[in-house]
Parts: sequence; C-alpha cells; structure tokens
Amino acid sequence: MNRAPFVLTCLMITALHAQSGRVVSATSGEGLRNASVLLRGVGTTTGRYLTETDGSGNFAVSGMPPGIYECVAARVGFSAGPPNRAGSGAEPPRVVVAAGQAAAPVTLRIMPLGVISGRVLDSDGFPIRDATVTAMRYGFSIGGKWLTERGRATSNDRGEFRLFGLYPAAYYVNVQPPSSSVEGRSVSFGPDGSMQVYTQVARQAGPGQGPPALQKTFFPGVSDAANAVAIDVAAGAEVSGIEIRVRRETLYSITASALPNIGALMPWIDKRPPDPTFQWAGGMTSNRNQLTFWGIPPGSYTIVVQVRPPNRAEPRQSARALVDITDHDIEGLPLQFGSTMSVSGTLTVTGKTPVQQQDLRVMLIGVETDRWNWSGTVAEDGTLSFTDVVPDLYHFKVEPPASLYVASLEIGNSKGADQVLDLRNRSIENLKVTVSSDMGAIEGVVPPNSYVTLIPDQSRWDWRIRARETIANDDGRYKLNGVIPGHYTLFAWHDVERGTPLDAAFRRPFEKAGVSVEVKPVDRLTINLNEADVQ
Amino acid sequence: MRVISVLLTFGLMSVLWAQAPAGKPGSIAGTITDSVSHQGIRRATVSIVSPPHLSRLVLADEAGKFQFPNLEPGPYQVEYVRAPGYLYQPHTRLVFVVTEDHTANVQVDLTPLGVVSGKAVDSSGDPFVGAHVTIVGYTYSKGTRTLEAVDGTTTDDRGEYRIFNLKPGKYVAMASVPSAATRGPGLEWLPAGTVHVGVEMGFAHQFFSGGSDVTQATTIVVPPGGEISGIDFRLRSVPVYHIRGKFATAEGAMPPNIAARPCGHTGVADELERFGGNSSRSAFDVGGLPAGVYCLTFSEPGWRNSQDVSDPVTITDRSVDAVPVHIQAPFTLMGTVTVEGKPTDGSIRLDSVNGGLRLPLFGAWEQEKLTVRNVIPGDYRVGLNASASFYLKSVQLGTEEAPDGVIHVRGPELPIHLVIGSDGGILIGKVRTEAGELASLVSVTIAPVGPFASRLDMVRSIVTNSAGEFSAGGLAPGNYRIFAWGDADLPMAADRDFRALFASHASEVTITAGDPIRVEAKLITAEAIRQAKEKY
Repeated sequence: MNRAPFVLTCLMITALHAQSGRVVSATSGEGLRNASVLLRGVGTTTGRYLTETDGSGNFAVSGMPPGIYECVAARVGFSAGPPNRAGSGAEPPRVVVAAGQAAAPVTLRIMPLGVISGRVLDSDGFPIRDATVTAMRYGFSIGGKWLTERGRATSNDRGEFRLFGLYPAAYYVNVQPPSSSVEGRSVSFGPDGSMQVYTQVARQAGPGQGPPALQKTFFPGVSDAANAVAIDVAAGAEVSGIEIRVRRETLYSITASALPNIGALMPWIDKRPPDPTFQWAGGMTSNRNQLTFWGIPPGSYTIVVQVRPPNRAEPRQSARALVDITDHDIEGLPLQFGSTMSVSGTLTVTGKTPVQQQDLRVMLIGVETDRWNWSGTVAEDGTLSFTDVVPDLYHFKVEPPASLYVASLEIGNSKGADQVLDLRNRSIENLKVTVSSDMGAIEGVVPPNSYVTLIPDQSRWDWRIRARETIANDDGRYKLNGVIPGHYTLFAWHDVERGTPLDAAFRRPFEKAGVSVEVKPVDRLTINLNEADVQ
Repeated sequence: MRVISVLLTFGLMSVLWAQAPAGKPGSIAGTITDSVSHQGIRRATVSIVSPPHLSRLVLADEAGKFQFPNLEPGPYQVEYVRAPGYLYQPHTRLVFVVTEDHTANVQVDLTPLGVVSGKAVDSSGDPFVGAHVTIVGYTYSKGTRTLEAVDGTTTDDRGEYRIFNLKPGKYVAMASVPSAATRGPGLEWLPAGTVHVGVEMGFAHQFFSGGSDVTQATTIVVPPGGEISGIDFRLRSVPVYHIRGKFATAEGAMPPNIAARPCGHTGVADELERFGGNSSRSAFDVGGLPAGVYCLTFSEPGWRNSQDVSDPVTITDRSVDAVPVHIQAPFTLMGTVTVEGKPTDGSIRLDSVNGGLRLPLFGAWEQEKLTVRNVIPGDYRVGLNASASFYLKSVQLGTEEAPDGVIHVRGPELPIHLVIGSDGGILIGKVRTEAGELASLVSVTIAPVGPFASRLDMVRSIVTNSAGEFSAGGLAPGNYRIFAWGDADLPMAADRDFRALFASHASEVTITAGDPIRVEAKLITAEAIRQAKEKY
C-alpha cells in the first residue's frame, strides 16, 4: 500500500522542469510549423535551450533547471516585432519554470512579414539592372528625423525587384542607379562636343551641359522623400506592380572667378534652405584662376569659400554667395571676399563636479544650419578664443552636453544664456561665458522595462542635446543623469519604436500622459509613473 | 646580338606622333553591336584615351552609333567599351590613328551575359527561403584549371532566384543553407552554450541535379545572352552534428576561429565553411554538419591565410569530440641555392596553390643561403623572378624533388634546395596570319614540353608588338611549343589540357644557350579556338 504514493511522486517529478507552448501567426492565430524557439535564462537563471515546432506549431522543452526564461520565437517570413522597439512590450514573454508546478503552456505570436515588388525603369521605359532598391521608414533620434533602411534588393536584368521580409508598416521606396553605369556619374561636355569624364589625372572642368544622368529616385519618380508616396504593407501581404521611373536630370556646374591669388581655397556648398540629407556626388576643381563645382542638380545653393593664407598667422578671408541653378551652368560667379571674424573672451567653470580641462570643448553652431560649426579654444586661465569664423549668426555650445551646460553668457552688457552671437559684420571681444557642471537627475519607479523619455522644450535651438532616454529595469527603477536645468515633459512608454517620442506629431495624442518637470541645477527629483500613465 | 623586345607602348607612339604637325581635326565613329543579335546596343559607353591620359567618353545612341568628332590627329587607344548586360572585356588593343579630315571607323561587338534561374523547395514542396545558390565555374587564376564560385545569390520569399550577370560558359550550380537562414529573424545568432533539444536537423549542400559531389553535377551551358531556367533544388533536411576539440592559444593572441568544410571543396569553401563559436580560449565547437568527411581550417582574420589544422574528420551518425588541432605559427623556411656557372645572389617568390597565404611570399638568397620568412603550412609554387639568362632548374624540399615546382610545406624542419641554371636561352619570334600578314598585339604562349612540362612557372605568356614580333629570355634549354592565339580573351590558354587541343597548330622549337633562336608561328584562328572551347 505504501508503494502507490511513491510511484505517484516519481511521475510528478518527471513532469517537472518542462515548458511547452505553441508558436502562432499574430494575424490568423494558426500554428506555425518549423518555427525555432529559444528559451533563454534571465537573471540568475543560466541555460539556453533551442528547439523547433512540430506540424501544428507545438513545442516542448524538458530537462531545464527551474528559473525564469524568456521565450523567443522566430521563423523565416515572420518577426516578433518591428525593429528598434523599446518598452516592456518589446521584451519577449517570460515563463517561470518552478519545481513542483506544472508550467502553463505559452503562446508565442509572431507577425507575418510583407513584400513590395515591382520594376525599375528609365524614363524611356527600359529596365535598369543592378539598381539598389531600398525600403525606408523615418526613424527618430536626437540627430533628427532620418530615413533609415529597412529592406534592400537589387533589380535584375528585367528591372524586377522584390523587397521581402518587411514588417507591416508604410515604406518609402528608393532607387539608387548602379554606380557602374556612366549614367550614374557626373559628366560634362567638352569644347569638342564629347563628354569629358573627370578622371584622376585629367581634371578639366568644361563648360556646357552634360546629357541628363540617372538620379536617385523615390517612388513614384521624385527626387525628394518629401514628395514621395509611402507604400502601406499589410501583414503577410504583397504590394506588387510598383513601377519606379528613375529620373534623369541634367547636372550643371558653378564656376567662380576673381579668386584671391594667394592661399589655399576651402570651398563649401549646401542646399538652401539647409538639407541634412543633401548628398551630392559631383566634385570640385580649382586652379589659380577659377573654382568650379560640377555635377549639381537644379536648385538653390549657398556657397562659401574660405581662403587660408600661406602664413597661418594671418587671418583667413571668406566670401559667401547665394546661387540658383535652373537650366544652365553658372559662370563667373562673383565672390566678394572679406575678413573672417573672431570671438574672444573668458570662460569660467562652476559647479560641484570637477571637469577636466581637456574634456571641455567649445563650439559655435550656425543658426541657419548646424552643419556649419566652428571649434574654439579655452586656455588654462579661461581665455576663450575663436578665430577665422565665417561671418554669420551663431549659437554658443559647450561639450560634453551630458556633464556641462551654459549657465550664463554675456556680450558686453547684453545677458542671456541663449543669445545669438552676431558675427556678420564685426568680431566679438568681450564674451563672458560661465559653464556649469551642476546637472540635474530624475529617478523613480515605473512599470518594469518601460521606455522612459525626457522631452525638452522643442522650441529651444538646443533641444536635441537636452533630450534623455532610458529603459527601466525589471523592478521598474529608472534613472536619468546629466539633465540640463530647464523645462521638460517625462513619459513612460510600453511599446514604441525607439526615438519616435521625439516627434511632436507622434506625441500629440499622448500629451496628457506626460508629466511636467522643472529641473533646477543639482536637482534630484523622483517621479513615479503608474499603469494609467503608460502607453 | 640581343634584341630586347619592346611592346610599342602607347607612350612611344605618342612620342613619334608629337613630331607630326597639327592639322585639321579628324574623328572616330562607329557602332557597338550585340554579338548574338547583331543589333546596336542602346546607350553603350565608349571611352578613348589620348596622350597624356586625357579620357573622352561618349554614349552611343538608341541604335548603338557613336562618334568622337573634332579630334586632333594622332594616336588614340580605346580604354573601354561597356554596356549593362554585356561582358566587359578590355579593348585596349584597339588603337586608332586619326588623320586629318578623316573618320576612323570602329565596329565593336559585345558579348551579352547570360541568366540562370530556378527555385528551391523543401521536402514538402514549400518554397525554401534564404538558400544560397552558387554558380561554380572554371577559373585559371592559379595557372591551372580550378573550380571556383563565380556568382551567387539567395532565394527570395518564393524560394526563387535569378543570377543574371553570367559570363557565357560552362557551370555547375550548388545550393547550400547556412544554419542561421533556417531559424528566422531574431535568432540568426545563438548565444554560446545553447543546447539543442531534440534531434538537430540541417541541410547538406547539393549540386544540380542531386548529389554532393561536384564531379556528378550536371553541366549547365550558358550561351551568350542565353537564359537557363528550371535549375531547381529540392532540399531535404538531414541530421546534423558537431565537431568539437581543443587547441592552445598563445598568450596575448586572439583565439583562432576554427572552421569546418567538406574536404575537397576548396573552390567553394566560403559558401560551405561552417565556423564554430569558441566557448573559451581553448575549445571550439562547429555545428550544423551533416554526415561526411570534413577538413578543419584555421583562418586568421586580417592576415588572409588559412591552414589545415588537423587530419580529416569523418562524421557518420554522431558528433565527434576531442579532435586534436595543431595551429602552426608562421616560421622561417631556410635552404640553399646552387647557381650553376657564375655565383650570384637573387630572390624567389612562393605563390600559394592550396592553403597557406593568399598573397605571395618572397625570399632572398645570399652566398647560397636562402631565407623565406613568415611561412605558414601550405602548398607553394616556387618561381624565380624574371631574368635574362637564369632559370629555376630544380626544386627540392628535404630529400623530395618537386618536378612541378610545387613544395608541400608543413613546418620549418625540411630545408628547401634550389638549383639555378645560368645557360638560359633567348627566343625571338614572329607571328603571321594564314594570309602571311604580321599579327600585331596578339597573345603568344610559350610552353615547355619534356622534363619541364609540369613546371607551370616556365609557361610564358607575352604579346607581340606592332610588328608582330615577340621575344623571351631566360628560357631553360629544352623543347618548347609556341601557340599564337587569334582570340584576346583566353584565360584557359594557361591550362595544359586546353593547349593539347592545338598540338597540331603549335610551332616547335628547341632552345639552347648562346645565340637567340628564331621561330615563326602561325596565328591560330578565332574559329579554331571557338570550336576547341566547345570540346574543352
């Protein structure tokens, strides 16, 4: 009689330490065969176990030591979630394998991926082979809103392409013509009527128009993402028949003459208004008498040329011109050279945290475009200096931004930490800057693994260096250090793509869920957000 | 009297022409056509270069016609002619002399590229996504015919693939599945120490149609502009196993990455190699291996070398543990050099034939003592840097003679011994066409027959000058065959078996020391070459 309970106990023991479950499609719920499942130990639980699902999508793993395991499911053609996901929703589901308990089966859902297919043609309708086709979506970071690649394909000899494995979303499709075809390069006609290619040895900028060359194109056939049409890809669906006519565009040249005879030229060109995605594949040539930018598409541009005299002690000269290219080359662009400007003054460092002199960097950032920036120097005694600055309007910036900020800035009697330095016509001699290391900190408790974002006042010119983000740990604790004093809104997110909360349009429906914070120097604030506040 | 052969270089021509007076401009005009359809090639590009390296480039029109107007009289060399979808062959032997008020006419045929397409399915007939399909063909880069991957792609979501920039020729197709491809997004990489529950299944590589042995594979003939479809694969999953073992990592060195590949598949090693994760600095574990015989290699990243590190390992129906692995650090190979006749110093090069370094090694000898540094195990072909009268007479490693000039280096223990002959002879030749005209700018192969027949380093490949002349020095005394080729694109001329098809076309000559030996060779017609290529 005593034997029966003993046998029963044995049976119970062999049933322990096992985890079973099913992998299903997130849309249809049907079981997926041949999916891979990884059970990955978390925290103090070590051990990783890999298996595959059977014909009905079921799996079972046994012989695991008790503990907590993450369950990651994968299958070709499916994905657990979009790339770059942050928040507790991004974490794989967990199971607790405990001694003495039968583990509940877990259902793992993965999303079927979609396809965009079509053809790449030139303007005459002939297929283009070996073109690079990319599916792109906007991503956000403190650098701004950028198009990032989410899929890539090459067009075949019929011009056909297939972008597969796309997570359901809307995509912009971009075509880059093959670099091997000369039509993708910049060429210009020479005086004898033939095209002259700018080889290493023979750099001859010839006037005259080149034949239209193939350009980077967005679906349906435009040059800018702003005018592009996004293609919506539903889960597991194919959007076919996407035809992209690659634009041909005549490229032009800009030639400036009347250059100073002595000195090294440093030319610079950018689109007007400034476009951080402006990528131009042309080139520049210069000799004693002229400077040519070639391979330029029609549009408005700013050109700045600096001249560095052979004697480095002498100040540089610079000239700026605004150019519009419509349908012909620009020749004889007049450049008016004038002196560059300088800034001098003092910089004082305050704050409780000591800062190493060599870590400190000061910069002037162009107001119109932050690609236009200058480095200055700070001596041991606090003397601040910027030289050879091209005339323009600038903000003052100190780095590293996670440990220093501009506490006060005075130009003569004018006070204001955010004031603009006007260097259009004269230098500044009496700049007094105080930088402080008294940063603030915010910490607290939010739902576990939430994605916490601290959004600054985005009307500020320097909002990008003020934004902060982190992911709360398994207990829900988070900490944001190095917060520059100012006004912020704090959010905790359940499942979003990293960086998207920086987009004001994205936040609009959720504004009420944010908590307003005023951070003062050396503040240590505790802010807890509970379930109701989490998106 | 020695004649130093000189290819009438472009520079020399321009010097000659600089003396001509400038006059009314001439031009170059012509058509670029498809060699199969004979249609003009739309928007082909033609580039010509004139001294001093000024390039001009023109796009042909919709009918393939182009022109370079307004050219100063003088020599112009074609830099290239190309169009997407056509085989790129340098046409730099086309030189035109533009004279005043005259149009030089140019007709160039381009060979259209071919396509191979098909589908991969699993044993249930469902599309197989992410299979690697590799097109394997013969290349002649090492002086003999070797099988190498020439192109490849991955099957898409429908299991389909299309390889479309193929040079016309004979190929075999292979499908292989990297283990990451089967698991899906998110599990491409597994953490070290992952335990697989249940029988591990994977896929063996396969050639079309069927079989893992390349000699059984079906030959796929891709004609110019041809499309071969239906090159399909049915991939069955098979049990896969591990090869595990230990090795020693030197202090401060990076743990090496041990890889396993089916033995005898060097040409497609990159596709078939499986790398093992290192669980520590002294143990390796390569998984995903179906039953078969495997060669383990060690590749040092950044050094471009690889060596076999163990005896072949056979997997039958279970994993193989405790495989001993020996990684040889680079060593210095020592040896002696005997120079017949007047003693001199000199240098040699070692080119890897199998394993070893992918870049050539150089060694120098001084007063008969030879040193080659930084050698790792491998098979190397020894060559003497070119000279007018010296030639490499014999090569010995340890006590073993290498009649083909290839030494099998395993370690520093065995010394290398070279004998250099100083009685090399000189050959001066002319090539004439069937009609008796001198053939300028054609390739000539000079190959030894007799005891030196297997010495690939003694096969010379030179080009005749504008007067149809060629010359070569430092030839070991003996018998040679001269082949003059009427086809500029002939990499297989380096292969003895290909040349054997033309034994009756070749001129024979015996080289001795002393006065130059003269020979006249007849140009082998392009038609004869084309026919032989089909048989080859």
